[in-house]
Amino acid sequence: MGVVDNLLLGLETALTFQNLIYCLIGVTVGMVVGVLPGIGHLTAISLLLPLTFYAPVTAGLVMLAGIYYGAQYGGSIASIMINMPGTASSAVICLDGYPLTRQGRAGTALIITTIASFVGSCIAISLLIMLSPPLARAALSFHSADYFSMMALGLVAAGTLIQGSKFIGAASVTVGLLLGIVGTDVSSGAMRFTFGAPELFDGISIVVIAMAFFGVTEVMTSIGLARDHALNAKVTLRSMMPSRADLAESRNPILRGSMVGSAVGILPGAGGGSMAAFMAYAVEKRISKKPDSFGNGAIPGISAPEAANNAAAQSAFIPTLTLGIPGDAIMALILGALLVHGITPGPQVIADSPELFWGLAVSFLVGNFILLILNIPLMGVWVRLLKIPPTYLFPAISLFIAVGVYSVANISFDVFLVAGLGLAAYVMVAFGFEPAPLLLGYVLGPLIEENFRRALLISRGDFMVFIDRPISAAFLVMSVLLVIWVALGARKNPDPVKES
Amino acid sequence: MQIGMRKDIGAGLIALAIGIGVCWISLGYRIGTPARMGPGLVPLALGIVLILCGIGAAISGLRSSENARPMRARPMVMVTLSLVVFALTIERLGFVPASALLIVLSGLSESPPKWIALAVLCVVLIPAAYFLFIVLLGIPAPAFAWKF
Repeated sequence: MGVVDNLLLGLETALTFQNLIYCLIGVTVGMVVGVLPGIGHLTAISLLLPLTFYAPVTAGLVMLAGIYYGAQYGGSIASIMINMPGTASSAVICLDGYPLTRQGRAGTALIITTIASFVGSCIAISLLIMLSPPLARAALSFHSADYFSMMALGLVAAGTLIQGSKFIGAASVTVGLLLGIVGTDVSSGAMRFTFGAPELFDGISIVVIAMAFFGVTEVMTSIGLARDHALNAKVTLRSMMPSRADLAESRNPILRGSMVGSAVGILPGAGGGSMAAFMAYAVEKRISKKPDSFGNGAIPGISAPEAANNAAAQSAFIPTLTLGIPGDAIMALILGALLVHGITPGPQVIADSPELFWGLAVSFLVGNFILLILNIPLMGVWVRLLKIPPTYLFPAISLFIAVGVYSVANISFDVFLVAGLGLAAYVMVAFGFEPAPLLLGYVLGPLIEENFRRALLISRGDFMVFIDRPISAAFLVMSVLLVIWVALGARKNPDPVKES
Repeated sequence: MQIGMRKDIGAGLIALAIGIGVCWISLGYRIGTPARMGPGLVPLALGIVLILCGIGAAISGLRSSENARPMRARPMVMVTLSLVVFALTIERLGFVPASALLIVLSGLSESPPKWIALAVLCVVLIPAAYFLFIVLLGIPAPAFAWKF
């Protein structure tokens, strides 16, 4: 099938009434949680994960993805208006977005970031459409040894490319792998870490893990804290008209930011949006003729990172959908949703379920158009969301956690489990454990063990199989190089916030 | 109340404790050989990795004086309690009382509790959640019950 046929199939799928509705729900929820500080897109996707089990797989994924990229649009609104990032990846937007608000140019900043978001997304979606089929075809020749090594690289990247202690990063991944092992062992039928509880024979549900690490910890961290900001600026439609000069000043930064973001988004374990935004900001500052203007309301300082974090949000789907390797925690949740629906992530997805892949890709375009259309007239509504007091927010999230977890299997055991794991997660996160690599380990754990065992079964226990196959060897060499690079650079421990 | 503790040392000790526990349990499973692995091999290996990471983090933590992020005891207790009470009451008392208890208990994380806001939440949120989860998604939980 040619590209045109594929896109037509995608359009047909994305434009069904059901998928349009799920897309609309997804991007709207994404906008709302993106705007609200204190509730991130990871929390939102975790909370809505159980709902997608009741929907067909394409519709469910369209909604989850919509929350993700919708939150990237919304996140910058809080950054610009109240100097508090709505999502982690829009933290860098605060640097120049809030100064613009204080200069009375909030409207301009909001419209520039909306345009940057849209362009960045569209460029990355084009890459997704062009790169995915050949990448998947190449990956179809992978053997289990290659898969093992590729996932190992993903996990090494996830554990090491974090702020803070690399030992704790590696420990986070390992704890995740162990959580993924709980339940019946596929090859021997043995029960592992079930402590005799029949509720654990099928393993711990991804909903329980996600709610414990991204829901309960968020509530415990933020409940009862007053938000110390004032919303002063007013945003009118007229103030949102960008001047010709602003647009001209934005064009190249948006294109560069889209490139940086697309590239970073594809890398596994690179942490998606935040790193892309910081890198795009650093690039703009370095090549700018007026580096002093950065931090005082420079237009390129908001347009490049905003294009980058949206591009990264879209291009992150490339390794997830073609190789089955999630780049960050959100992609791990998407993979988890696929697994729950009985679809094994990997290169065969595009060939076996073309309507899923192409429908999803086209729904990204549809979703971005909806966001662009929703955003401009409704900007005032989004801005007013910032006035919702947190007193209402967190008990509501608690209820969503409890009911959502209960709904997965209709057993209260899971709610006890989320309470216990959530408490443990809160303590572990306070000591520097990272929930995102942990979730990656949890999702990849069963897949990586299966491929590891199968590779050794075929080679009759000869570990050389991982080195003899060139693809596998290349991934392992990359993992080792990454560890060496991180070990050498660990002393410096760069902090992108302070650097820029 | 806030608990202050050295971050990397504490994290190392947590990893060490989990690692030892995992190894202990894994040794109870069949280990096998690389060609025919038993169910215990991979968990045992991961337990050892965890022990090594824990020792590494604790040793590197000796040089840093960074404290763990302060933990907030009141939300820790109240949020956990609210979930446990929900789990205990959803089948015995039904969806509506269980949800109300959860909202009020988690709201007690705030001091002083905002009673009016919590009452508003109960009145607005519980019917909405009931409609979404029980009517729309068909979760088999009664609105009210009395089963002990």
